[in-house]
Parts: sequence; C-alpha cells; structure tokens
Amino acid sequence: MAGGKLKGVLPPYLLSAPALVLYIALLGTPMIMTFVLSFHAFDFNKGILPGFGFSNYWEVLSDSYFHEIFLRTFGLALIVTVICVVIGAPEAYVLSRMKNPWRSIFLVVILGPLLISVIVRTLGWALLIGSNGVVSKTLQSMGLIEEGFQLMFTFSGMVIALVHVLVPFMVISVWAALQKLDPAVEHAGMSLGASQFTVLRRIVFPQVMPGILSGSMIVFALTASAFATPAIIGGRRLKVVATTAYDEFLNTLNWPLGATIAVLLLIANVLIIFSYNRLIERKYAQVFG
Amino acid sequence: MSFLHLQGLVKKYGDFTAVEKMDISVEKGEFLSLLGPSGCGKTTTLQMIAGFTVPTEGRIIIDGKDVTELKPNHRGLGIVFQSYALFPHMTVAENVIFGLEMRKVPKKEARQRVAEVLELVHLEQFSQRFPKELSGGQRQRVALARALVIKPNVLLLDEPLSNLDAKLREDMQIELREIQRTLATTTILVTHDQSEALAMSDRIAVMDKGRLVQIDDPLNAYEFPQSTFVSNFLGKTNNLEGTLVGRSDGRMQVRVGDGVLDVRDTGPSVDGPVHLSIRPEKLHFADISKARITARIQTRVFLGNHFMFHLDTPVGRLLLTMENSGDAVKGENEEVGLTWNPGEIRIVQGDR
Repeated sequence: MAGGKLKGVLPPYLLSAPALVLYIALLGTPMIMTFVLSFHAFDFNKGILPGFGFSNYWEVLSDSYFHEIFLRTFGLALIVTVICVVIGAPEAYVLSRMKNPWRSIFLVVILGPLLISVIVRTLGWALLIGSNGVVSKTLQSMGLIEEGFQLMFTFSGMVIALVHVLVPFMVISVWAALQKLDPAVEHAGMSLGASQFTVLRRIVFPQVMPGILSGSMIVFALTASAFATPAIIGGRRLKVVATTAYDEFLNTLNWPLGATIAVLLLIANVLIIFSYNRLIERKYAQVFG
Repeated sequence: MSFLHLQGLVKKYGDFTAVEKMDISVEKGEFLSLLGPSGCGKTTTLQMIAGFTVPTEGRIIIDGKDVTELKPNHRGLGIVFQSYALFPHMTVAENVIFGLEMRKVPKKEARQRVAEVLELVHLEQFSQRFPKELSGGQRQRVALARALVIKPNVLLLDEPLSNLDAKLREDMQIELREIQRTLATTTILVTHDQSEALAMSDRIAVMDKGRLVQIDDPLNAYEFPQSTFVSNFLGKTNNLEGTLVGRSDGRMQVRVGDGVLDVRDTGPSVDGPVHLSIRPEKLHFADISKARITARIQTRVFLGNHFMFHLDTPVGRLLLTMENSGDAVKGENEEVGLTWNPGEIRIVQGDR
C-alpha cells in the first residue's frame, strides 16, 4: 500500500521537474546572484569588493537623483496605464460588438504592435516623432509648432510609444471580461427603462471592471520595467529605473549599484501589484468569485 | 377590445423569412404561449414585441398605442430572459429596484414595492444576496420579480423555465400561473415545451417555419389539431395517411395500409391523400372478437403511471398508452384486439 501511495505522489513532481530545473537555473540563479551582488561594495579602482553591507541601498534611497528617476518611472507607468484604460476599454467594447470578418481583421490590427520587434517599432516611432520626422514636419508646415519641436527625448514621446505597444494587453483583458458578459443583460437593462448610456455605465462597465483592473496591472508592471522604449525615445536625458540599472552595469561598471536598483525596482513593482491585487480580490470575490 | 395587436408582422433577414405575416390579438390579462420548434420564429416575434428587433413589415400595438418604432426602454414591458440576465454585480434587491430607479420612483415607495414583489416570489430573506449565491430556481424568481416590479403592461417570458430541472419546472409552472392570475398581467410565453404551453396558457399559438399554424385554447389545440404538424408537436399522436374510398351519411371510409378506417366526416374537401390523427390514449385494447382491428404488441415500455405500447397493425405502426391501473397487462408479442371511438380520429392537413 505504501508503494501505491508513493506512486500517487511522485509522478507529478517528477513530471514537473524538468521545467522546474530550467526555471531555477535560468531565472532563479541570476536573480539570486543579482540579489547577492547588490550587497557587495564597489570601488572605482579595485572593482567589486566582496562583503555584505547596505551601503548601495542607502545610496539609492538617500539620493534625490534616484528619487527623481523612480518617481518618473512610476509616474510614467501610471499615466500610460490610465491612457490604456481610456483607449483600450472602449476599443474592446466596440470590437466585441463588431461582426465578423471585421472583428477578426481589427483584432489583428490591434494585436499588430505585439508582432513587431520592440526595437523596430520604437525606431519607427523615432522616425515619426523626431525633429525631422513626419509628424514634426507636418505640424510645422501647418504652422502649428515652431521649428525644432520634437517629441523625441520627451516624456510625452515615451508615453505615446508605450501606450501604442501596451494597449493590446488592455484590449485583450477587457475583451476576456466582455466574453463572460451575458449578452441578454444589456437587453434586460433596456427593457427596465435604462438608456443605452445608462446600460453601459451601470451594467456593462461594472462587470468588465475586473478585466480593466487586471489589464491595468499588466500595463503598469510592463511600463515600470520597460527598457527599450525609454532607452530609445527617452534617451540619456529622461532616465527610467531600467535604463539607469543598465547604465550602472554597462557604462559605470558599478554592478553592485546596478543590482541594487534592479532589486529595488522589483520590490516596488511586486509591492504595488500585490497590494492592488489584494484590493481587487477583496472587492470582487463576493460578486464574481 | 384586445390589448396587444400584432398586425401583419414580418421579419426578413436577407432572403430568409424568419416570421411571415403574423396576426395575433391578445386580450388584457390573457396568457398566450408562442409554441414551436427552434427556428420557427417564436423568439424573433418576442424580440420584435420587446423592441430588440425591428420588424420588416407590420405594426405592434399595445393598449391602443402603436409602439412599432418605439425604443425598448420606452415600451414599459417586463421581460424574463432564458438566461435570466440578472445583473451579477448587484444584490437581489438592487436588481429588482433597478427598473424603479430608471422610472425615478421615490426611494421610499420603491423600497416598499421591492419588498412586496420579493414577498410575492417568496424571496424576502434573499434580498441582500448576489445572484451567484442563489439556486437556479431562486434566480428565476428574481428575474420574475425584477420584471414584475415595474408593473409592466405586458410580461414577456422567453423560455423562462428551460434551465430548471424537471421537478422544479413543474412547480414553477404552477406558481408562475398563479402569480400571473393574481396580477392579471397580459403575458406572452415563448416555449418549445408543449407541456409547459398546455399547462400554463389561456391560448396557444403554434408556429412552424415562421408561420402561425394554429391558435387555440390548450384543450382544443390538443383535441382538434388542424395539421399533422400541430398534432405531432402537441403531445404524442398516431399520424396515418390514406386514400378516401367512400363517403356517405357523415362518415368517411379511408384506406390506410391493409385496413379501412371509419371516420366521422368533418366536411373537408378531399383532394389527394387523407391525413388522420388519433391520440395514443384514445386507443384501447379489446377482445379480438369485438375489436375493430387486430394488432401484435411489438414493445411495451413501463413509465410509472402508464404503459406505452408499440403495436404492429394492418394500418401500420400504432402507439397506445394505457394508465397503470393495477390490472393485468398484455405482454410483448401478444395478439390483441384494438378499438376506439371513431369520433376520436381527426382529419388533419398534411404538411406542406
């Protein structure tokens, strides 16, 4: 009997072992090493000094230079998330009301940005919004802006490029919530005397709220840790946390400080996402569970 | 003066005609069922009354007012949907009060009316629950309460009981009927379940392929079906097809298979085959010597309160049902005699 019991317990572990080993080796190890690295000291002449201390953390947490970078990063994440909600949620609703083949066509159009390499896409934006880009030239010829105006290396430029790539995540997640919506509830609302707008506001919107919330969680996390787009469009002038960590690693060669920044970004991200998730679950467990 | 008029209602989707020239008048307080198989146009008809589908032709008149062009939120109808379509993010009380809020009924009066209607459907204790915390039957009652609280001039029921199990469905049929009688709300029920239509309605409108084929009270529709379709759809029946061989003194002789049946002549002009229908419970076993025809029992099925027999007879295969009265029952492969009251054989129209 004992053998039989063991048989029942063991196979699931054995079957998941290869994936687990891969996960630990390729994701766990570098993360633990980064974590350990963040406690080492650094000297410009001698390089990395083994040891254990919180000096790097103190440096980041006490320096207003880093405060600004962290604030910019999370401000960027917040703005991009809000814009993605405003654009993505109605987009998903309109999409769900479309008939095929238009629905399929527009779904592909919306998912399009995800199919293009992040570098290619961002450089495309750079061509569009640079000082000699199509957008600037057009606006200049219309006399709307002065010469030399550009969105490159601006906060707005980063927001536009990030919204473009992250909106699909919002659309998909609201779309999934809309699929669960009983189409008859809209009719029910109308039959009870509600206008189309009231039906949207009081019946459809609250039901897709979980989709909007989980979509914004994805968009927020991806923006806060985005690297390529801020690196190309924001450049050196507008550093975010991810690009700062990169610079510490590859330009200053201060690996421990880079590791510290990376760890702090991870902690902040996890904290925000985790508490947000708790909030959602508490609010919606009773209704949708 | 009838209360709800459908005048020449037509709905076409491209070349496909979903509903063809529908004319129905419903009295105030009447309970009418639209009955038919799926795709017969009954749901489309309901959707047009509700205002969710725009008719291609025809008018809809409620209480003397033409509502054909009116938006669904201005028609003042109560609708119970097949899926119930409750608002999952609202409690029972919030679901029910929604319609009153839309009508700007004062809070105090609204709460009073919600309490009354929840009492009517026996859900007083559940007002603070969310729909997902309720059973199927309870959700059904919430949907009904939500439709009734606005005091609708017409109540539309779209297959309201089809998601309930058989036992609960029977209970709800009776309860729904009682509530409808108490409130005397004009009601239209869409269903594909003939027993539901028979049990609940004042009149049944049988539909087939977008057409209204017969409209009658339940007993008449069952006893005097006008076509093989209606006789088949309302309950079980034996449909026979034969040729007229004699006609005199108010009687017709119809040859069916190897037998000749004597039928009361109800006066139809006969051109081509004659279609007959006799209900399985109108056939009886008899001594072979006194029988009209002899038969062999092919299968016998026991169904609790009654038995069902498949019989091989000279006029073809017949179905006979017999009450389980506790008497000795014939077995399979037995030779039996069959008799019936000739007046019970109906002449019906064949299917087009």
